[in-house]
Amino acid sequence: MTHIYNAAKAGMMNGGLNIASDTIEMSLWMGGAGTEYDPTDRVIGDYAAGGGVEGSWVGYARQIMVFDSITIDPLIPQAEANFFAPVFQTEEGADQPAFAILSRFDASVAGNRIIISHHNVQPVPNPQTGGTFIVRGQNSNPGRFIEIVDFRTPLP
Amino acid sequence: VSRVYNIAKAGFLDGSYDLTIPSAYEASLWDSYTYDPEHDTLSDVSSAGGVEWTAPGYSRYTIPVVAVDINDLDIRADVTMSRPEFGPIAGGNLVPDNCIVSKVSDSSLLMIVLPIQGTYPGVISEGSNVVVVWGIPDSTPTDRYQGPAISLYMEDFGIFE
Repeated sequence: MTHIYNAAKAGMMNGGLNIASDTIEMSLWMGGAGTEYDPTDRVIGDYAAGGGVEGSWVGYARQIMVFDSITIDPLIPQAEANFFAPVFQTEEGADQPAFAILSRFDASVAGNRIIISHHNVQPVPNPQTGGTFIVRGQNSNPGRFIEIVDFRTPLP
Repeated sequence: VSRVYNIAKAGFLDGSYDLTIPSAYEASLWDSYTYDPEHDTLSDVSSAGGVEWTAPGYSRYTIPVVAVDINDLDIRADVTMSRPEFGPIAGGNLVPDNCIVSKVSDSSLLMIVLPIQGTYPGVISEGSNVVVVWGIPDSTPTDRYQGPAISLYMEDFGIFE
């Protein structure tokens, strides 16, 4: 499952965040205490300060997300942001990451503004075998990491 | 209840719907229309049978300012718009069922309020204004129909795996 950070929700509606054209990268994080999603985090540093531990195996590096398309599924209905699934390098025997985080560099905060937290990461293949792997998005779609189903609207 | 059109959902992803641009969005009142999330513009609304209100005194309401705020307490982002006000309207007219918000520039759709709630619906008294209530009422009953209120909010996305 995936969560959107509060600041990113606002950014999508106030022009501060453009999923299609901003440079967005994915980082991988290990599980454990203090690593749960906190919707009030603003930058990657907030997550790390809260206990998040980023992958550190040989060959690991954050990956730039290559934007593919925005599509609409009229049946749900929802809008979807699709990327090409990022490819990570790993080493045999490395621990499997638990979370993937999408963020974008923002010079105004001299850091990476945090966008989504993607839980229950399912690398393909398992990184313990070494080599390369991808992180799948929603519903087994390799690169779909953001879906806007609907907005909640208050009752009068 | 308000519903967001699909074109706007996609527009929030690609930056084409910046709600904070002043006077970029307008509200209009419609009858004989059934909401379809796939409609893209007011032309689609008309093509689907929608009829814009023609009561004397009616004109579309340009929304002067929209604010988007992070709401950490409720884990969401809030959108606050001025409440659309139409009129004064000639007496005896029946208020339409739907209020639609669209872009001023090209009539691209943002959201619909259905059914309208506010100082009316009902048959208008001579010279009254129709004020659409967006959503969360103000804190006191006396100003329920005055000033802006939260019109929309984005909670966590409905994401399935």
